[in-house]
Amino acid sequence: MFKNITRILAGMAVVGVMIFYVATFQVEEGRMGIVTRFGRPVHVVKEAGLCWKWPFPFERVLIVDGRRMTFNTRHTEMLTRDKKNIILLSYAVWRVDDPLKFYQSIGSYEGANSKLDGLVTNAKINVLGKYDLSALVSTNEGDLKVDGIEDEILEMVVDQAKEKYGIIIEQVGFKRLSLPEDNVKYVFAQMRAERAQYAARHRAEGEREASKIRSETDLEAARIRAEASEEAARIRGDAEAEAANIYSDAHQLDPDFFEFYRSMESLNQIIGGQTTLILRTDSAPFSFLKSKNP
Amino acid sequence: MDKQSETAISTTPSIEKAAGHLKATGLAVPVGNGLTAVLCLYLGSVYQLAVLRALGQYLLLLTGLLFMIRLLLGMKAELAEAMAEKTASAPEDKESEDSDEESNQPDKVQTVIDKIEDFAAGLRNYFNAVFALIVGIYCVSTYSTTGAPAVAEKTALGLGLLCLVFAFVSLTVSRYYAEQPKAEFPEVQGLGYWYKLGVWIFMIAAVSLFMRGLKFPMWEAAICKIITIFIILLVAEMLARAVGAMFSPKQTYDKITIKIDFLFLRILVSKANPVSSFFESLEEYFGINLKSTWALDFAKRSLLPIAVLLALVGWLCTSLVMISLTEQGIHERFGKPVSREPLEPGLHLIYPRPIDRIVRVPVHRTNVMGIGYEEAVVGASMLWTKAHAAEEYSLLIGDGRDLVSVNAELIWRVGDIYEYLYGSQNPEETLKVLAYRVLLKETVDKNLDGVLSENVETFCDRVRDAIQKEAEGHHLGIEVTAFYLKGLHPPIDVAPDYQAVISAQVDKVTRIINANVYREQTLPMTRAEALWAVNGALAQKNTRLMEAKGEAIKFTTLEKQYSVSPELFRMRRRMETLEKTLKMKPLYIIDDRIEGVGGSLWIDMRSGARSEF
Repeated sequence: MFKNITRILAGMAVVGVMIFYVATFQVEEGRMGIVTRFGRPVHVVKEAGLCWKWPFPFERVLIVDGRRMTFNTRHTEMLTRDKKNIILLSYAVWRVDDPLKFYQSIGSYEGANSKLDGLVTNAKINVLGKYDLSALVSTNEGDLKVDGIEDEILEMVVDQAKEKYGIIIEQVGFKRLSLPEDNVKYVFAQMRAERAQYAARHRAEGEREASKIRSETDLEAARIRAEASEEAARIRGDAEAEAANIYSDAHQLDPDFFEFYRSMESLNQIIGGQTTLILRTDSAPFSFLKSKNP
Repeated sequence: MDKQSETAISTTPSIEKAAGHLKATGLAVPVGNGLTAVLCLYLGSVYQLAVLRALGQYLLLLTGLLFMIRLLLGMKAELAEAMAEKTASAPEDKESEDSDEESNQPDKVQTVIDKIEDFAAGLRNYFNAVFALIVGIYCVSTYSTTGAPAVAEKTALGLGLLCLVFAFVSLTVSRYYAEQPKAEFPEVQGLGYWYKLGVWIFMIAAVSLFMRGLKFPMWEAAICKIITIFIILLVAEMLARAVGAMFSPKQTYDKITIKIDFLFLRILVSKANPVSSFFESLEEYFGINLKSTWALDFAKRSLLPIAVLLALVGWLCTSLVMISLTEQGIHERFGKPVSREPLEPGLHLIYPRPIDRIVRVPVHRTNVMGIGYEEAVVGASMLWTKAHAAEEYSLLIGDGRDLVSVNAELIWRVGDIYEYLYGSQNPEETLKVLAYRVLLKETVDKNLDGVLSENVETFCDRVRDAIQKEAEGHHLGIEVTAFYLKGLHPPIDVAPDYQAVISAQVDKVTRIINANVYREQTLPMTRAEALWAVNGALAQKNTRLMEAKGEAIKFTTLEKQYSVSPELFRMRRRMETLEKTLKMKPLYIIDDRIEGVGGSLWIDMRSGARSEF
């Protein structure tokens, strides 16, 4: 009896588990489910939780992830209106809005990403062709229109994505702006040239300052020397004048005597060496040669 | 001769039966077995399924043995034919030319008998040994290769079904062999064992493939290893038997068989289920009878309830979940979160698996995301001119004419676990692109000098706040802790030129300093010269004035003398002067009267000359 009850209970448990496993499905939070009956879609579940369905051959459930997905578009080179080559890396944030349409049109995330990639890249090329490079990168803030361009691209793609693929694209954004490799080389060359220019300017300024200082120094030195010579000459002049004054002061006392005295001094100086003198006997002391009287 | 023919006749039935078996199965069994072996090996290598490979190895071993048996059966059939011929022709030739016939006929039979005995002594053993060795080496070499199986779930299920089919075929074959009479066809028992074990192995393989198909490939590797070990044991026994047979005494042709009922097989499959056959082998070899112990009985009775209880406990264990220190959890019921509030670390009791689930996320751990480069070189220094990452991104700034490289790190952690789990499929990737976007917006309106001269701290704070705002706008559930700039510099290719500008600035200052040095040297020297000149002039002035003053004093003194008696002074002075100046000088004194009348021209006043008055 007991054994029978156990057996019955066990049997019921097994059957219950089998039913549970086969006739229910769970939709996790953030996912959506499409219930199909023999391939024909019957019912879309957008809320998480436990749902019932007929077992396998009759009804099947396909789970679609409805959470936001971010994907990076591939690198594409494009031209701005002023014919500048740039690589604009962008991303798109999207989510499945209509799981049925999504599954029917695309079916997988890889497929969705590649279709969206095409859509967004196309829109990017179109929109960017209408703007100059200065709308993307400029030191003048008024020129920048990055947000506006992003919004324009989003506008271009959002309706198509929704109607064709059942996807809502929430945002298209720019990640990074860079140049194609070949252009990068030229930008580097320009940066180098600019830097070389600054370097040369610094050196030139230095040289100019230095030579200014040097020439000023030379000028100053010459001035000092000139002043000094002038001063020395003045001093000497003063000295002479004063000496003359002293002489004349002294000589004013007795001009006759001065004449005499001075002549005597001169004789002392003049007659020297090998001077041969021819004298007359009419002045002393030679007059005494004539007679003993002068 | 009679004895010989009698013994020949007595063993004819088994040989005839053997011939009969041969006709019945022919090459079908060995070839079929071989093909199955090849198929299993091929599938195993295509899908990288080790289980199929092990199956193939088992079947390969069996194929070798089957070919040997086939050869032996063939020879036995030949012998049967020869004997039949002999017995058929023997009565006719009994009367005449006995000796001749008898010398011919036994030859044919004898050659076949010799052939069989040679086969037993030579080919059978060598072939078994070598074949066993080859398969053994193959098994050992593939024992530990566990490549990741490259098989879709549906294919795995299909292969599992295939294995079930093979198991069924194997069962049929083993049943067939079980019904053959063992006395006449000695190899039959061994074949039965092989195929019975084959059934078990195929079923185990099928189960493991089904498990893989249902995403539970947990014990596959272990199962495969066990099968391989078992095959290696069989190989060892085969090798041992072959070598043993090489050294054992020569058997007579009628006793020659290929023994394939190996010990290891018998242990597992002599009875319907492996456990009881194990016990029977134990009893056979060691005399231990366990069949009637109470423990065994109890174990048999309680096996089922215990298994069920274990399953139940295992199932109920899924209702106790431990959330560790660094994690938080979200409680889901049938896939839908019960509440937005996360569960804190600790032990939590929930309904078991299909009903409730707790999703755990390491929330408190901070993560680092590198921005602006790929594959940092570990331990590299952040120098402007040395590469510190495999690839650094260059951001275009400065009206499209400047490029700058940014190396930064974003430190983040999970803030709101609900949004993190159910908001985005790839929140980390989203965070990364948002970070790049913020960086783009921050740098795009500046040029390189502007970026390089920014205050790093305020820049980082601004960027962090902006990224946090964007993350909140996208409902990522991520909290940005910090944004660090590890390096901000012009691209490595042009960094030397930037450094050169600084060098030029230094150079400028150096030149100015040198000029100042020149100035500091020259001016003092010049001033010293000037001072020297002026002082020289002053000295000269002093001298001159002193001279003048001396002269003046001399003059005034003399004047005083003069004023006392002028004439006298004059004369005295005059004489003194003449004395001084005319001394030692040649003089010509001419009398002034020469100009008048009668005077002598020459008067030599020098010493030694005479004078006339």
